[in-house]
Parts: sequence; C-alpha cells; structure tokens
Amino acid sequence: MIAWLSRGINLPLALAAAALLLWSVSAGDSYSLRLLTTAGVFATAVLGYQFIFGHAGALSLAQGTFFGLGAYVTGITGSQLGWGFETTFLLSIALPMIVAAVVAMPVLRLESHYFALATLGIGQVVLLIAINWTSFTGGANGIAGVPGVGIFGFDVLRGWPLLVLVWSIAILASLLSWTAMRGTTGRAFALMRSDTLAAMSCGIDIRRLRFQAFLLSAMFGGAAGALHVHTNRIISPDALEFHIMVAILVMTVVGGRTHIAGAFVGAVLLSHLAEWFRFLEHYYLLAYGVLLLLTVVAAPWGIVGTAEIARRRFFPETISPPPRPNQIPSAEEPLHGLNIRGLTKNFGGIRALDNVNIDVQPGEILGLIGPNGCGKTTLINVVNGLETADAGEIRWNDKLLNGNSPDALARSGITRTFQSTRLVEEDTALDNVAVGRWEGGKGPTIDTARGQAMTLLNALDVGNAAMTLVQSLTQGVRRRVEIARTLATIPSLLFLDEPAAGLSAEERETLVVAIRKFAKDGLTLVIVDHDIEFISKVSHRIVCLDRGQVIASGTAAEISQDPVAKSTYFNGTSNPKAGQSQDD
Amino acid sequence: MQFIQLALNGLALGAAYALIALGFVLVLNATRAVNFAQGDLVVTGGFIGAALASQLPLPGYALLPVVMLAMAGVGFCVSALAYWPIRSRPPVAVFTTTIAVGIILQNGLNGVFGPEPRSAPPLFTGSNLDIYGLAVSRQSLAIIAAAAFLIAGQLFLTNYAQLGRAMRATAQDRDMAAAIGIPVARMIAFTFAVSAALGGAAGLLLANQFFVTPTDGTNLIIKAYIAVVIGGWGRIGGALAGAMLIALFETIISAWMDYTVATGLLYVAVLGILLVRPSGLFGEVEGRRA
Amino acid sequence: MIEALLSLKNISVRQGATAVLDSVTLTVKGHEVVGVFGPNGAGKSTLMNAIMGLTKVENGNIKFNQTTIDRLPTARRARLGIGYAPQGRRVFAGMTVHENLAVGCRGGSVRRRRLVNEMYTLFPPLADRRQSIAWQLSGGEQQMLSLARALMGEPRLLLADEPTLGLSPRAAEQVLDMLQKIAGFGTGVLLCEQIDASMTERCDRRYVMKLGKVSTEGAGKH
Repeated sequence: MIAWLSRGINLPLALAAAALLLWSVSAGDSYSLRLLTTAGVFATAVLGYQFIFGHAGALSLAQGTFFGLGAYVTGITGSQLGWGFETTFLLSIALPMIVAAVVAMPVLRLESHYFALATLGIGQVVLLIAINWTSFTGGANGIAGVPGVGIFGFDVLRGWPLLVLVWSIAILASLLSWTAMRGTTGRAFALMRSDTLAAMSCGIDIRRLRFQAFLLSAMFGGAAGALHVHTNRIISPDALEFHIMVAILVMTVVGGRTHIAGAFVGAVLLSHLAEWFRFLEHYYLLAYGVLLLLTVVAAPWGIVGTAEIARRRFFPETISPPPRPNQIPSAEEPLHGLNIRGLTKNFGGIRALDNVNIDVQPGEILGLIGPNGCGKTTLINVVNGLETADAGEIRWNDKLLNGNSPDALARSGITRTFQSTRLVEEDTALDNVAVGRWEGGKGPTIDTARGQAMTLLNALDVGNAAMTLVQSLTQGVRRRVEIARTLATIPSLLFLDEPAAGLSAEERETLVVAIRKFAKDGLTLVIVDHDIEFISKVSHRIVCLDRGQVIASGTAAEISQDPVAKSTYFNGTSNPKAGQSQDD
Repeated sequence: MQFIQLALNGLALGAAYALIALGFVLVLNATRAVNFAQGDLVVTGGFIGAALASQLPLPGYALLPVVMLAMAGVGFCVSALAYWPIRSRPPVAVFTTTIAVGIILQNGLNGVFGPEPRSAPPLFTGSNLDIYGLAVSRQSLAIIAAAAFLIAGQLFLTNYAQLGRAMRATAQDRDMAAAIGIPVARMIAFTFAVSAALGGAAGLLLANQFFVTPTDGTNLIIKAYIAVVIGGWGRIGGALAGAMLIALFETIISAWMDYTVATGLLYVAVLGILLVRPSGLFGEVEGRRA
Repeated sequence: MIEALLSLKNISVRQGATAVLDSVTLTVKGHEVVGVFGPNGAGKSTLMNAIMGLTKVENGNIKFNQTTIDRLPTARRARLGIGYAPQGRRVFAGMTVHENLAVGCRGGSVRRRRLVNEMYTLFPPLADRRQSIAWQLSGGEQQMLSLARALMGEPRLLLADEPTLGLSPRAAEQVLDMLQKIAGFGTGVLLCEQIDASMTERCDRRYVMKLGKVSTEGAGKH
C-alpha cells in the first residue's frame, strides 16, 4: 500500500470511486441515481472550468453561460425540432465554442480584473436574451417536455442507462483533459500562471494558451449543459443563472483546481451536500458560500490538491532516475549582430538609459558592467520587450526589434535570465528546463524535451539536481537552472543578468567554460554582472554603464586602464585601492 | 418638464451609485483586489434599514448613521475573514473569497427576510416639494444631499487629513507604510469598514424608492465595476463620473424602453468600451494594475 | 562605555535552501555612522529588512535600545524609533513631496508643520518641489525625499540602504554629508553600500559583507 501511495494519490481515489459505485448499486433508487447523474454532469463542467480557471489561472465567470447555452441548444432543438442526441449534443458543444471564440478575441487580452467583468457581463446579456426572447426560448418559463436522449433512434432511459452515458462522457472528458495537459503544454500552463513574465520570456504564447483554454472550457461546459437538460427534461433561464456559475466555481475550488480527480470529488461531494443540506432550505447555498470561503483561506489547493501535498510529504516519491540526455537542435547563425542606437528610457523624472549605443558581433560575448542603478537591467528589459524605449532603435540581424512583445522575441531567438530567478517552485529542475522546449503544437514530446533538458543541465554542471524540486535548491543552482531553461528555447541572442551571483569560485570557473562553449557554438551573449574578474574572464569585450550612459568600452585590459571607468567603477570591492575620484 | 423630472431621478440614482462606486474604489486602491461583495453589502444596508424601521420608531434620517455604523462592523468582519488571511496571495484569491462573502450575505438575507422586496423609510417624510411648478420628490433631493455630503466628507478625509494620507500610503506601498509606523492592518480594516458604510448608506437611500431584494447585489456590483472601468481603474473621480453616467443612461433609456433592455444595452456598451478603450475615460492610474 | 543602540547577535535568514544571512553579529551606537560594504547578492538589503521586520529572522536576537525587537511587527519597530530609507527609495509615488513628508510624522499638526519646515531647510531642493508628485522627481531628489521621510519620524536609528545608488558623485557627496550631520545630532546611522571608495572615510566603523556573512576584516582603516 505504501509503495502504491508513493506513486500518487490515484489508488485511494480509485478505491473511493469503486466504493461509491458499489454503494449506488446497492442503494439503487431513482433518486440517488439521479443525484449521481447530476454529479457526472457537473464533473464535466468542472473539468472544462479547470482549463481556464485552474490551468490558465484566469478568473472567467463565463462557465455558467457556456453551460446554459449548451442546455438551451439541446432544449430547443430537441423539443421543437425533434433532433436526435447525436446532432443536438454536437450543436450544444458548437454554439458555446463559437461564442467563446467570438468574445475571446477582445476579452482575453484584458487584464484579469477586466476579464472577469467582461465574462460576467456576457453572461448577464445572454440571460436577458433568454428571458425576453419568449417566442424562441420560452421566456421566463422556458420549455418543458424536452425529450430524453435518443441516439440514432435508440432511447437512453433515465436511471441506469442515462447514468452510464453521462459518466462515460465525463470520463471521456477527463481523458481529453489529461491528454491536453500532459505534454510540454501542461508545463507551459504551470509557468504561465506562476510567473507571466518568465513565461513570455521563454516564448510561451500567453494569448494563444488562454484562448485554447477558454475554448476547451466552452466545449466541456456546453456538453455538460446538454446532459443537464436531458436529466431534467426541462429548459429554463435557471440554467443561465449565476448560481450555476457559483456551483461550478465552488466545486472546482473545493475539489482541486488543477487535478482531474478534483473535478470528480468536487462534483460528487457538492451535489450530495446540496441534498444533505436541503433541511437547511434557503441556507444550503449559504453553506456553499462558507465552504468556498473556508477552502480558499485554509486549503486553497482543494481536497485533492491538499491530499496530494500531504501524500508527497508522508510518502515521498522514490526519485525516478533522470532521463537520458537527448540531442538539442541548434539555432541558425545570424549574419549581423546586435546594434543598439540612441536608446533612451525614462521613468518619470529618472533617466534610466541615456542615448546608449552598443554593438555586438555574432558569436561575441559582451560584458556589461556598472554600479547599481546604472541601467543594466533596464537595458535588458527594453531589448527583451518588457519595457518600451522612449527613443532609439534596436536591431538584431538587421531586423528592428522595437515594439515586439517578449514572447514574440523569444520565439525568434532572443531571450534572457532574471536577476532574481523566476522558476516554478513546485516543479523539478528538469521540468522547469523542459518547459523551454514548448513550441505550441509543433514541439517535442515531454519525454524528448526532458531528455534535452538533461543535456542542458549537464552542460551547466547541475545535472545531479535534475529531479529535485526547485524550492529546495540553492541560489547558485537555481541560476544555472534558469540559464538552462533559456538555452532550451534555442536562442541566438541571450542576455544573462548576474549569472554568477551566489556561485563559489569553482562554480564560476565551470560557468565561464560553459558560456565560452555556447558562444563557440554560435550563440551571441550579453552578460551583466558585478564581478569584474568573472566578466573579464568570460567576455570578449566589455561596456561600462553609469547612470544610463556608456562611459567606456573595449577589452578587459583596455577598460582597466581607462581613467573614467576606473574612477566610477574600479574603486570598488575587487580593487580595494582607496583611490580618490578624479572627477567631481 | 418631464425631462427635468427624469434628470433629477437620474441624478438621485447616480448619487447613490456614486456612493457604491466610491466604496468599491477605496478597497480596490487599498488592496489591489476587487471586493465582489460590495453590491451585497449595499443590499444588506437596505435590509438593516428596513428591519430597524419596523422595530424602532426612528425617523429616516436618524436611521442613516445607525445603518452606517452597523455596516462598518460588517465591513470590518469582511476584511478580517475574507481579506486579511489571504492578503499576500494574488488578487484572484480575494475575488473568490469575496464572491463567497457575497453568497453568504445574499442567502443569509434571503433566509432571514425572505425573497420579497422590502422598502425602507424615506430620509424625510413629507409630500413632494413644489419648485417652479415642478413636483420634486423629497427623497430624490435627500439622496443627492446625503450622498454629496458623504462623498465630500470622504474625499476630504482622503486628500487632506492625515488619516487619509496614511490610507493612501498603505494603498501604494504597504511595507513602506509599515516602515514609517502606520498600523497597516488597522488601515485596511478601516478602509473596508468605510467602504461598507458608504455602501450601506446607498442601500438605505435606494431602498425607499426602488425597494430592495436579496438578489440585487449581483446587479449592483456589476454596475460599480462598470463605473470603475469607465472612469479609469483606480481613479476616484473617474468612478464617481462613471457612476453618474450609468445612472443617467439607465434612467433615460428606460423611460423609452423596457428596463431589461436598458440593462442589456448597458452591458453591451460596456463590452464595447472594454474593446476600444479599456483604460477608461480618464485612463488608469499610473502603475496601478491588479 | 556607551551601550549599543542597535545590537544584532547571530541573525540568520534562509530562503529555501540558501542562507541569505548567516549568523550576523553587529552593533551600532548613537552619534556614529556605521557602514556595511559588500557586493550585490551579499545580503545587505536582507539585513536591513530583517532589522526592520520586513523579513523574518530564524535565529538570533535583535535589540534596539535595550528592547528585544525581533518578534515585533514593522510598524512597532518604526514607532520605537527606527527610520528606514530603503533601496530604490520607494517614495509614495502617487503622493506629493509635501504629503510624503507629512505622512511620515507621527505627532500632531503643530509638530508636523515644524518638522516639515525643518526638512525643507535641510533639503532645499525638496522645498522647491513640494507640490510635485513624487514619481516626477529625479533620482537624487527621490533619495532626499526618502531620507527626509524617514527623518520625519525623529528616529534614534536611521537605516539607509544604498543611499548613493544612481546618484551623481556630487549628489552622493551631499547625501553622505547629510548622513554625517544626522549622526552628529545623536542619531545612529547604519548604511550599506556596494562601492567602498570615499565612503570608507565617512564611516566611524565598517563591516564587510559577503555571501551572507559579516566581518570586520578588509574593512579599511578604523
């Protein structure tokens, strides 16, 4: 048992499911069967909601609307047109997806607080249409007498047959969900919701992923709505009311927002709770509210999420052996290098970059030094697309970079590391690196990606940390894991922000050797650091910045002789000659 | 003539909406998070007013401070239960907990009072006033006056009083505010209390002419939300202007069309705004995004 | 023998598996300027945050004015008399210069007015820009505002994290002059910086910080 537990929570859940099944067989009355059927319906809706709310981390309040739309399609086409399940079900999935696609374009690019409002507003509009378009929708009373499920002429009766159909669909949905999330896409979602900036810098197309998640949520929502109508044989505006959205939200949060099992646990638990609390009458919804509040505050990972964390603590996984290293494709060689002209950036009254001119040849390693506040990180942020320049041009391989988003730049081969590492704490180092191999639908499988990640971790001498969770790693190791992640995106131009901070002298040596090798393989690098020795050893050329301006540039030897550079920077920690400033 | 009548009604409604929006923005600025329960707090204020009126022989205007005080207490509880424990988590978490608070309030009210609409007494009793031959509703004037008074008071507090400065500092940089000795937890609790009090006042004021039902909250929070989006996320002045615009839009359109159609048009208009200019009429406040 | 105003004994702070502060021990007395020098990533800001209570401390003991403060919340420590001018200045960007100063005062309006005028005298550039919104100020002006705001609380101990960051050499000199002046009034000043240079002479005592550890070796002349 313990061995099984250490591989995941699935065994106890499977046992619980079997127990539930046995119990329902023995109870067998139509009432408990109907309850279980409803649970299956909502499990499907929750599985859909998990895509947008759980995986993509976006607060959509549209799931109830998709549910209601699916319900109305089935209700109307089934009762007025008499079409069979095989048609109505597909239409019930299609309409919500079409609506989702139409509203997604303007709505998904909104910040999260606007997004929630937009989805809520859409829901209200649809509800008003349903209530007022009486001739089509039956108005406030809806349409009764919706036929049961008829698949190509065969009637699926209520009770056991309907239960089996609904749960088959729910299980199919869960398989779909599992397949969608298991590759590098699942890791991309995890990074996206944990750190949007880092995700963009890895080339992850945030908008596209959100769009896909939104569409999937609509698909499953519509399916659930259709099944709901077949269970209840009536369609009314109740299916579009906010309390359906609330129910789905509570089930998702209580069950566990990114776990497939959580959808089932949440749906089964809350459907039955609604019945058990019926003695509370009006107050049963209040109990839902209290449950939601308690869960978010005390157990935000939901039942399954919390159980998984507990399981990991008490029955830790035997660390599986790291995968075998795989070949990584290389980037194409650029013809021209990086050319920055007249770059200027202000923050209010502070001039962070002042008419900066820098050139880097392809395959060159440029070191960038300067005191804190001189603009080094701002320079990276502007080139990387996180900030927009107020003036000036940035060209790479003769193409203008200004105005592009960080993820578009990353996909064309320009990426960077961060001053304080941005990694997914709960994932292994290996998976953190593997996410860099995400390429939409065209990238490698998760296994290939992991193998390639292994190669990179070895190249940076942190291969032995591959299977460890990032939260347990030291700064020095984390920095190299992040460098490995950027390399996984197969860049042609790479900015490293203080890669040597927190590294011992030995580790620095290894890093210098590794970086020099990357450059020989064709990578162009710009490295920002404070350690003069490290920069001198690793760079071909050095540029000195001070208060946003380039004050000196040349080889390490030239810089150490330059009087301006010396007075501004070299009277520092590495050279404790108490020399007086020459200027000012 | 009729148009002036209409405009007055619109102004009164706008004044009440402005109170709601002001409360909403205060918490938004202080916590970077949306208090989804603001609408339900308004409704709670209305119901408390209705309940008290049937128990106590107080005149309408005396009910106002009592309701506001009670709602301040409710606001304090909301901050302690739904905000403080999760203050370091991303704003989505607060969104969810306040949705939960909203559910609790709605269904609590439904359970205690039942689903039927209730009304609260007017601030000042008496028939309509006669101004230049126009029959002017006393309550409309009272709403405008009360709201103006409360909003002016709150704006004064925020912009000129030391307490207001402390609240703004807490909103802008919580850690630095603590580092200069501001009791941050108390500031935030106070903000929630004020926000709930303003909302509750709006509820009491609205409950006379418009009646109040337990489920009104969802509608109201959407309107507060819309006002803030129109006016520019985080801008107090913008939110007030947005609230006025919504009220005038509603009043004028629903004079010609069905109320539900008017509401539908409002939502469609907002979706249009989000599409074209999400930063609102006056633009978002610098560097202030949830 | 003057009792230490601030005394840290064996303070440790961990971040995941890394020891960001490793058994740090140091003292600051009134009337003196103490400098902590070290490269980026050494832990200087973490040290400041730990004293101020913005970062939790695992072991060890912090005493301010004979009171043990390592369990107290930040606002309490500020009210006990510790002023903080953090790295990156962190002025209240949406408020005016005047409001930034006013909010730093914990007394009544009379005291507030007196202190604000004192700040305008100490920092004339702030007086010129008293109605400007803080984010419009230049780096040097923001640094002055950050210090002035901390001084509004009339602190016994002033923590200054990289006060010369991004300033022109002349502005940096002015800031250091100011800090020495403040120490002259009786306040203890603890500052941390990256570059050693001319600052060594400005400090009465020096510590060197590297990878979370503090020592007095290589700290220049005493």
